[in-house]
Amino acid sequence: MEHRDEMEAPKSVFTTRKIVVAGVLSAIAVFLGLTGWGFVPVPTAAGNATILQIPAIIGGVVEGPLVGAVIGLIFGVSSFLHATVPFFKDPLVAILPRIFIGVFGYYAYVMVKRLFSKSKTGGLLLAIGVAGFIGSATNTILVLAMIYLRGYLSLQACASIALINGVPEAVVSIIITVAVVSAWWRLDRGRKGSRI
Amino acid sequence: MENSLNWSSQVVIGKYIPAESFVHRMDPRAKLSLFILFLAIVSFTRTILPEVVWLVALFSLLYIGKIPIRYFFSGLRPALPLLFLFMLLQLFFLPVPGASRDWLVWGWVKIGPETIVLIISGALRFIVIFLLIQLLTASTSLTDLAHAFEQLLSPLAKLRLPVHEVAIIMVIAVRFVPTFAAEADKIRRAQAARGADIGTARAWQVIKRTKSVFPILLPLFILAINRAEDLVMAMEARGFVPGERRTRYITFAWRKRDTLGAVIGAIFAALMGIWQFYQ
Amino acid sequence: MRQNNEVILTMERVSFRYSPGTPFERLALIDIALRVMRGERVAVVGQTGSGKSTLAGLCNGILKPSDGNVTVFGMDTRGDAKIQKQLRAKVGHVMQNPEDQLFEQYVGDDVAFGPLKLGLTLDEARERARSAMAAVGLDFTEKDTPIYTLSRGRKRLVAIAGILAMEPELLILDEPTSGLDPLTAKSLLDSLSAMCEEKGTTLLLITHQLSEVLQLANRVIVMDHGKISRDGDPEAIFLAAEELPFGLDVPDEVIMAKRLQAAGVRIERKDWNAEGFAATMANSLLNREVKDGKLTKLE
Repeated sequence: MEHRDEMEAPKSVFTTRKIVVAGVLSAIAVFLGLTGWGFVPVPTAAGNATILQIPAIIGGVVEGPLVGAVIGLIFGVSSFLHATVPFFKDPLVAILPRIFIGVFGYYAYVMVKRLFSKSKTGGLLLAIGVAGFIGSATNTILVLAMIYLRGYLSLQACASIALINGVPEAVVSIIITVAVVSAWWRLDRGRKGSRI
Repeated sequence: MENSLNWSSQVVIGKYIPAESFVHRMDPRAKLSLFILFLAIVSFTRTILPEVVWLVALFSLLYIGKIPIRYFFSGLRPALPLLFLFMLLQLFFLPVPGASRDWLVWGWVKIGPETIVLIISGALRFIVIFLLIQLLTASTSLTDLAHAFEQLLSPLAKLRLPVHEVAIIMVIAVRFVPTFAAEADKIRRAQAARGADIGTARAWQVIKRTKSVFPILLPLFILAINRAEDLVMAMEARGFVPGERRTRYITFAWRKRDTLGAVIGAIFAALMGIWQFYQ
Repeated sequence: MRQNNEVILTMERVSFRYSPGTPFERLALIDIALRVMRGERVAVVGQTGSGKSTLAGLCNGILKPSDGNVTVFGMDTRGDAKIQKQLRAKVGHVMQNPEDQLFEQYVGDDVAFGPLKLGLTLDEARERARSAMAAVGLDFTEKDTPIYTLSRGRKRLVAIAGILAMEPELLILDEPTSGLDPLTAKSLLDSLSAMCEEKGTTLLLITHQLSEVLQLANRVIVMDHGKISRDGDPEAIFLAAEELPFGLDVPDEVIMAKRLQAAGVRIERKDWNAEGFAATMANSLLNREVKDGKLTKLE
């Protein structure tokens, strides 16, 4: 038994909120990865676009880079453990790059938000969209860079996959990230009022 | 909580197969450390022979651990078609830097003996890592793994790294996967009843196709957000303080044979590492 | 109240297993036989886990029977995609906590989602949404309200309107009032009742509350451990049961009616309310006298 000898706990970098949001969004990433749900049927080299990077991006935008990084880490570990695609059974490909998804997504969000600090909702939506794009691009580029560096595929092959897969994935990522975060923050996206 | 963790470990990391064996009884901290050490060394193997040795060693452990070999093969089988496809892909898209001679050169496609060695060793490495993961997850429950992870890294908490917090995040994540699976299934059925259909837009209509997953994805995220809000309140109401050192309710007893196992494992890993390095 | 004798739903020797072939396998329904006529209002009651919701899920093809056949509007629910589509159009299923399924930003878009998926034009969908929202007591001007500003109860109404807007011929409601405040619950049931009356919609109501059965149904099915234990007129079943089983809330009206029946006084179901009980009792007292401390009929 250990005693609770540090009653005055050092202030943590995590708040309860950050811990819980990170946990719940990680659960979504793991769940989407375990099932066929983590894909949107748009044409790519793989046949559909992955959306598994999106919880990490959302976590980054909503609760900061640390939360984004942890969600990415858990997503990475899960994808490493369950991979059936050979190069994802390599932790340097499956885990390491994923940590940066939410981090880069967050910084992209902050930078764009600062640029458009005058316009209210519009600038915010743009910033969230850019985060969706950068986060997804981070995933594509870093994973394929590791695949190349670890000698699984040639540079040309990696570059073409990055283009064919990465572009539709980034588009899908922008749309979903904006939709989820604006629902979370209750932002009006575009239209005022219903279609009918 | 404990039960739901053990249940979800089947889905989240792989099936835990209870048995009485040396491998099962080994301290989870020792197992996790050896797993990471083995993984680090295996990841940098580039030749065939050391991988065969790894395979023999790990299969022996599978045998000692009384883990049925058909369990391993049933896990591997679905991965095999992809593995072959991938090996074929590599044949064309993997030029080996500094290859001495090539049998076939066409554009950037260059095939030579070095390519073949790399492809086969890559496939073997995949199987070794697959085996390594199954060995760990079949012999250790997820609860034990989570606590072992936290305890192993707890020295880092002194450097103010948020080890405990990350451990809690992992526990929450694992805890919620079955919840979301059930909820997602409900949402899917409900939306199907309303006529929602995924992927019926023309393939090139990327935006339309993306929006076709909204009826399922958005309620799932909103549900998760609501659950998170509830959980924050519940945890704070019960006096949870992030980063506070908590009383451990699971303690592992480190025995002599754990030391023995860890030392043998470490020596083996070191020898393999040296061999690989000088090959 | 039955409008005609057309059978719209048939179940023959239906069994249902969850997760067959896994350690989690569970037999939820055993050898069910059931026929529902057009225009009937059937309430399904029973304890949690008795198979009520499973029964409901089988009716629109979302769940497929493990054994036996389910035929709805003449279509086998195991049919191909085209049949599934027709089934979805004819059978509306409001699941438990349907407010969790809302995903659009504005109320109107979510209500119109189903009709638009049925291939209706925007104008047609608007009209459907208008009448569906009216049917659950929502004002049509609320179509432009963002959903997140609504309370849970109002979200529930929006979700139900989303199903009603598809104008199903068979409407399945799975515990539509759970978690609603009594007032909202009552007014929801009243408007649903009126709508079914007007359109001749066949109703399948799954509930824990016998008072809802009395308010809405003309037939009750009691589920017990995956089997139908009773099926028939609610009045007859509630009065005949030795003690009402199934751990349900027994409404005061039923208790009252049963006591009167035990005392030898018949009271029709339409009179199962305060006024009815008072009048019946007064009436029956007129024909009795007290003899040796007991009520006896006058000669």
